[in-house]
Amino acid sequence: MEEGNVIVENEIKKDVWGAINTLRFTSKIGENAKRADRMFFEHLQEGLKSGDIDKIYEFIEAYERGRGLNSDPIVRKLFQKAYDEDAKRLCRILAEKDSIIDYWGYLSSNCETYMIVGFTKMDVEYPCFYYECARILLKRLQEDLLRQEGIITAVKKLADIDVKLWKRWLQKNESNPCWQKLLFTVLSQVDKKALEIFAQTIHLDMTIQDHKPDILSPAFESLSDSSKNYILVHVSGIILDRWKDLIEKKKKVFASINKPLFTGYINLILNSIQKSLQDKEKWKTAFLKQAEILEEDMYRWYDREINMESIFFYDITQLYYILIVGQECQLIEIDEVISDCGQKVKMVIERYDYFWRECEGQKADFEKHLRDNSIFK
Amino acid sequence: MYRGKGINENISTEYLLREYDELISCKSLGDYNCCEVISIFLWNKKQKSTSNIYTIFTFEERISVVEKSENLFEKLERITDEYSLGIQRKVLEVSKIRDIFKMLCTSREKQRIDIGDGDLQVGHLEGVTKVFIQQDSTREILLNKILKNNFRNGSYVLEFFDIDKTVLKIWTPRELEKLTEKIHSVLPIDLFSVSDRIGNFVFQFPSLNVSSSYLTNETERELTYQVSFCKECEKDDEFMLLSEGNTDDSVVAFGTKIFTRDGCKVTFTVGDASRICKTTVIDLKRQLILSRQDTSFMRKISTIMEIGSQYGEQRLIYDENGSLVSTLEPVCAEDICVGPPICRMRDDYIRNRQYDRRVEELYVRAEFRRYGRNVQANKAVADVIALMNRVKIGKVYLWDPYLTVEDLLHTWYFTTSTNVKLYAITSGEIAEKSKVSVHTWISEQQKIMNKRSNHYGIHAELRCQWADYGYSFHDRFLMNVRKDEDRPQVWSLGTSINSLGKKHHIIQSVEHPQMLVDAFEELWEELSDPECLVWKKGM
Repeated sequence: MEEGNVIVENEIKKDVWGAINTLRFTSKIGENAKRADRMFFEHLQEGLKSGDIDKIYEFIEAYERGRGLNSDPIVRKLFQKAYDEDAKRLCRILAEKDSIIDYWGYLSSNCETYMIVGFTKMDVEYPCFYYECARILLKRLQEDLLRQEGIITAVKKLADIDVKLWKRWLQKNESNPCWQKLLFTVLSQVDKKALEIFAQTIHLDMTIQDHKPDILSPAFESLSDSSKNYILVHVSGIILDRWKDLIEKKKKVFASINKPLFTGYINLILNSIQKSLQDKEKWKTAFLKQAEILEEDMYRWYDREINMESIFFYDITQLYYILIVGQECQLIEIDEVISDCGQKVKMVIERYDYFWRECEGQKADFEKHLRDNSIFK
Repeated sequence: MYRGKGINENISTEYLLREYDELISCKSLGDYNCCEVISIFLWNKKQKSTSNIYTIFTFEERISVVEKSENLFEKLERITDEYSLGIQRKVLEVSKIRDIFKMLCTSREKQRIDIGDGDLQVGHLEGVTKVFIQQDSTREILLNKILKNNFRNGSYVLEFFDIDKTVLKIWTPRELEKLTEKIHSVLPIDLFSVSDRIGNFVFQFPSLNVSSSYLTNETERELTYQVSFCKECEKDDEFMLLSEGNTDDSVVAFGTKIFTRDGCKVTFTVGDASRICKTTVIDLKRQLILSRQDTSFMRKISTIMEIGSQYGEQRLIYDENGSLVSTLEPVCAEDICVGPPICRMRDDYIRNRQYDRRVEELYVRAEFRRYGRNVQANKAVADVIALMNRVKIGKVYLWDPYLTVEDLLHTWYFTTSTNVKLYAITSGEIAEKSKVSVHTWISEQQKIMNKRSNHYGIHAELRCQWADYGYSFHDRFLMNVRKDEDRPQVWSLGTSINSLGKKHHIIQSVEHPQMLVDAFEELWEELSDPECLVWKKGM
């Protein structure tokens, strides 16, 4: 065995590129395969034939959930050697395969992280290559900057050259905490079109899981002011419109909630609201209007109490956000009208005190916001 | 026929007004400053008149009262060529409502009133004294489907009950359903489920001031209550909290507390706090209920978890030629049960006894009876005769595809009332099984009847469904349509009359009898051709 390895090693030294050219990645399935395996494999074939990325990735992800790909140490050495000799050439050879399944097969089991990161910095005309590089890097669990750098580079290139893949990336990785840490860094570097696609794609009601840290808000706050502004200029209008539509849709079907809706994108939403409430007059109008909506909604007829409770919290959510923006941006100037309105809001909160039984902390916080701004005592 | 009846109830205007004043001024109930009026009406295009379908006055405490009026439909909604539906919502100062209430009191016989928007046709109105309607809790209270947001504490209701129900009488069931669906599309008022309230005027006084909640402890032996008021009540007001835990028709937990307008926090050591608890808060001075609910703690959660894979293994079903006709992906299910926190071993024995008793009651009421296993065959026949005999005045329908005159001789001919008519439907399947024509079979049936009885006191007709007459059927039903009862009674026999009690079968009462009676009558009409008549006497 030892002797065999030496022979192979010698062969590798002779002609790395020749050896790489002889490598083939094929997939087949056993005759006794179960239905699930057969279906995944069938979908893979269909996907390869029609270029349906979803079907190809269905296979890949199913495989990764199962045994995963084994790496051959000799092939790994071959790739390493080739990379050391001429990284660009290796990158081009791999990218020109123009096949996600090949990318997966070669990159995930035979390339070290630093190699894939290196590939992301090279220019090839195959967006799927960048997609797969980014996907593999994201799956690898090391928290190092190199890996992050690779993901950022690859995804940015994706956003530049293939909006469909960019959108797919956003959809598939939206709730991945590793990606969330990098999201805004990437957004600060992509163009207007990519930003608009981002704003149109994300699920604004994506929840923060209980007892888990909020990642998106600190990630946004860590950007420079200019980067934040750059992002907000292009997304805030879309996000605000979508947020309003979302709340209306949820109210219409009485989508159940029992506390104010704080989503993973709260920072973006708050900043988008802020962009639309540029001055004290606009803030006052928004506050009065939302308070009126809350009051009117509490006088409506409801089939069940849970419907009334849900409407209550959607209205409170909007009011809460307006308050936070008003406080942060010092848009609140108390006059008699706002004071009266504040009293009404206070009465509504007290009247429906029992709605807050699952979120007394948030009730206290909401009241504190109102008190801090002297909206009521 | 003699009908003895008492005098019609007629509550005086003074009495009703006194109750109104009592409720409107009761601060512990609510500090009402306005009233929302929902008026649902029908517009008759031909007669150019408006009829009341349902009007409800709900008293509210609004933060600011702005009087307004709006129509909930942009234009009147067409129900039929003659009738259109409208719904109006108004908010009025509370002081304006008493006059309307008084007018309703004094106009109960007038059949035409004006509550502020022109003449409204109404039926004779019966004044109803105050009624407390509690919130939904462990049981759904049907009347809450026509009240506004009766989710907390409950409401008092004063009502003017339309006893003519003219509006109701002009609709077919389908038209009524369409009408009530249209109403429900804009407001959660379900007049289909509570159709007895159509034509009525309702005044709802919700209990808004009091707030009560309770907890138990780890050992489920204590109930800790907290009662408070959102707004101040009068200084000398006195209240009572009454708590009662029930199970197996026994009171297993009980506690009372008298308190003032400051509210109360009290713990009752009851021994068993795990049962359904009826909690009532009472205004002692005014003798009014402020809150009532039947609640119990969630002590056990059961769920079924089903697991399947993205592409699970399939069950394949083939036809007789071996071609695949259907596939199905079964899933694996597992039940998960958490609780109860404390087990009481006696509960299983009690539950079994209650079940046995229930089965017994079902038997006595003929709701569910089992035959053919350790039960004599003639018992089933005797029971069917007893069911038929329940009708003293009215009709009996018998629906059985294998019914013959012999079966009538063994059952119907043993009933004793001479005022009851039997309508029976059979089918041509018997003739087919006997390999004779339907005409031959009918002729044989008539020959049998000519010699087997003198038919004294009998009123019966047997029709046969065959060929294109009517439609074929399978199930066997006995239906009692009594003149002295509003609802018919229908039983599914489980087997034909000719095999009652011979094999295992069940006779059970049917939940929606009227639908089956309608179906029978429809088929009966379709079999009115002389070719379908088997035998007839005294009809």
